[in-house]
Amino acid sequence: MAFLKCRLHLLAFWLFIALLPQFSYAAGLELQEQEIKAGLLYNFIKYTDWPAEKMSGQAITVCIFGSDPFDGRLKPMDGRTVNQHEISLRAIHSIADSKDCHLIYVNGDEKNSWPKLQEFLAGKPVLTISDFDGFAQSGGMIEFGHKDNHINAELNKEALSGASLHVQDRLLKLVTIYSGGR
Amino acid sequence: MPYQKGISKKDTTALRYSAAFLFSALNLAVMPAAYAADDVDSFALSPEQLFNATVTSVSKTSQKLMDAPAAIYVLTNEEIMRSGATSIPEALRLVPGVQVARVNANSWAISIRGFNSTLDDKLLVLIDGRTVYDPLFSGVYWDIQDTVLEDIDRIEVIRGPGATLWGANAVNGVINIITKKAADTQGNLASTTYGNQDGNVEERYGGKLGDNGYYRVYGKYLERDNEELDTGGNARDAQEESRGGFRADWKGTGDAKDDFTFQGDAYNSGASQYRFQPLFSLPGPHTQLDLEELDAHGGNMLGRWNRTFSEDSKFTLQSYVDYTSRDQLVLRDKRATFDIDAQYEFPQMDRHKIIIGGGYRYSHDNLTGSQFVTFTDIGENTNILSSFIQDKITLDPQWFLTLGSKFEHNDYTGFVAEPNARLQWQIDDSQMAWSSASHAVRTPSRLEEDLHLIQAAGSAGGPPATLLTSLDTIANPGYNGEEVNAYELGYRKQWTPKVSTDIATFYNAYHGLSTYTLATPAIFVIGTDPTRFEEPFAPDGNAWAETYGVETTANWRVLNNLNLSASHSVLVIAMHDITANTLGAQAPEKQSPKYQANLHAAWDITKDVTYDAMFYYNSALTSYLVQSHTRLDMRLGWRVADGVELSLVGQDLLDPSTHEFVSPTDGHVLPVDISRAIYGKVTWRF
Repeated sequence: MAFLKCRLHLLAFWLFIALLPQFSYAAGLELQEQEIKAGLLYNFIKYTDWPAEKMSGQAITVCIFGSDPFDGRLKPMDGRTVNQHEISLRAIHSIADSKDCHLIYVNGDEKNSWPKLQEFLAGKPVLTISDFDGFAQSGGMIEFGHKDNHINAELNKEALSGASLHVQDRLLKLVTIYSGGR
Repeated sequence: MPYQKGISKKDTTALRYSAAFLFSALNLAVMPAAYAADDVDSFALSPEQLFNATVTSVSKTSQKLMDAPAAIYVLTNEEIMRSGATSIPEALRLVPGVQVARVNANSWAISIRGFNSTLDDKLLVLIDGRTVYDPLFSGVYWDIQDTVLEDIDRIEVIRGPGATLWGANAVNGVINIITKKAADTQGNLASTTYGNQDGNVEERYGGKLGDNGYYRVYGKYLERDNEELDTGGNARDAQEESRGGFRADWKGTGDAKDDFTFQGDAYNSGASQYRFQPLFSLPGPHTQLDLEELDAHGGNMLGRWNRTFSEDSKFTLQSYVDYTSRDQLVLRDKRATFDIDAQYEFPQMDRHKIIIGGGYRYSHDNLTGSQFVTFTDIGENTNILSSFIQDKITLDPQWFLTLGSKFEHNDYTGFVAEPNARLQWQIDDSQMAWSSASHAVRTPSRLEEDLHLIQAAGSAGGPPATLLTSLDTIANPGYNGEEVNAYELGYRKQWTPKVSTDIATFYNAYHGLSTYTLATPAIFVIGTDPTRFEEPFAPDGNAWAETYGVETTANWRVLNNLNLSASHSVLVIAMHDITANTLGAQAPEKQSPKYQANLHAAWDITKDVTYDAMFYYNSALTSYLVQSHTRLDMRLGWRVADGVELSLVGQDLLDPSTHEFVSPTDGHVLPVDISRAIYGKVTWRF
């Protein structure tokens, strides 16, 4: 009897192995957090309109403020062309370096430097993105967040218009609009 | 369940099972070609696809650990939740090379690489940096180690001596339980679990702490229902426990990058179990069966300060106080512990990456004995001073040598050094080989230094036939603890983005094992007890042992929504220099299974419905009437609405009940069968 039971277990085990892969199901993508954020960053470059004078040069400069939170996953973006402009990736560590950037991604660890950076950037057409909680509320333009294993984004329209930036409808439909104002 | 039958049959099937598991692991390893070159270009994805993508749970830290030259496994929060486990010890079943056996409703025996018992003395267990190892018996009381499982970030399990960085008693391994940062546990989480065996309710709330911080508080109540005695009848081993706790994390406001953490827990638990006790009556009977009440309560508070100087340099200062009280029929043990540790990580200097640290621990206990347990010191203070240094030397871009040592001074054995050397060969981006040699110690426990336990009574054996005979285990203040020399070899390869394997082999030589050998029998008087003829057994440290084994793990992401992981381990234990007068000395050879294997399939049926199946196999433990066993657990999870999840779990579905273990260190507790368990759970996040 014990022997029979063993055989049954073994049978169940192999059936399990044999059957499982048959149930393939087309589910959604599964990516690492940094991959998703890197992809979204690229899309924000693609669907944001900068004032013409800011786009007079060849390159779009994407700056990371603080250490690289993307684990190197942003690197392949360097040199890509978007809307006829070449992306140039830069790491910056001081506020003064930020003036040439089109987009600044603020590492969440630099939260304490954000107020000074924001003051410096006031009115300048620089798209600001970060993932620390309260970024959009404190005047940041786009804040990445988490919800149920997905990445979402909160967008501060007031901050965008104050910097003469415009995000196209395709993205606006997908993000939450921050409505608190400041 | 009759365990006398079929043991030999099962033993032969053991090999077949092992072969089957190994085969499927190899299978996974040779399949890869078709799934290669599947790296997603995230810049080619549409914003809709990106916002809809699911975030995989592989954290940066766990990835770094996977690069470590050690036999390490990181159990992620997702794996814990999907396993359907209702407790930390049950979740550990998923970790390759860890033996988890449930002794009864309220007690577990957990070990790595052999010597399993309810109080495994060769394992270091930490929760958020706090040691939960009880120095009285040198073991962990798993019944009181718990929290809201959803709030556990990960459990890092290192097999083999982790002595250099982690401190003494990490002889066979380290289990490091790490809870999430308060920022990652915001909002309400309420859940209730109800089933035929275990049930619990829990609530956690996380909120903001000013502009720079976050906090959470939680409360949990759990019940574990009575199991059945192996011989039939109610085991009366139910447990109920309430616990609560908090954690706050905040950033400093100055220019320096400071992170602070303050956290604490408190618990109160009540349980019982049947225990045989010696009975001092001359004509006999010499044992009586008692229902033993186990009352435990305690609490802890921990503070941590972390200053980051640069990406690769930081300083950490941590301190905690911990109080535990455990009241059993034979012994009451109260203990207060204070601990402070500091660690500094130097920035990379040329070829050297150096980490140094130091710590101090003070522990005071207060024991109340019984007729069967006596000791010289009612309260004892112990002091441990420790320090460590580790240097990871880059020999060339592919070769790394890590040299380190821990130095410790304790009150029992004085100064000890625990050196460790690891060589790592990063063959390319996808494969790594490593080897290590280490020396580790287990400091003697209070049991071995001071306690006198009367294990059994009898009327035969003593020269004067009119005297009662007792079999006692006594202390040996000269006992120096155990030492191990461990040698390991490992290889890890990522075959394709979807297939990876990890293999580790080890050889350990233990000296000075705490085996009890007969000392000189004598006539003995204690208080009002009748004078008896005592046969005392004391730890002499003469026995030594060799263990060796192979542990293999494979992971295969078959489809985007289907993952298979499998592991297999072989463990051989040989005890040496055992005499006829040694008490239970061969036990270690029989108390850990020679073969263990598991297979976990995780399938996302739809975006909201997940299915998991877990097979666990262990070979028989002959001397403890434990059969080889295949266990099947299944879990079905369904997210019915935003934030609401229902799950249905079945544990040990193939058998109505299973006898998993009898602890050799506490053989007086009656053997119990663990029932098949079915439960449902509702989790609500809001």
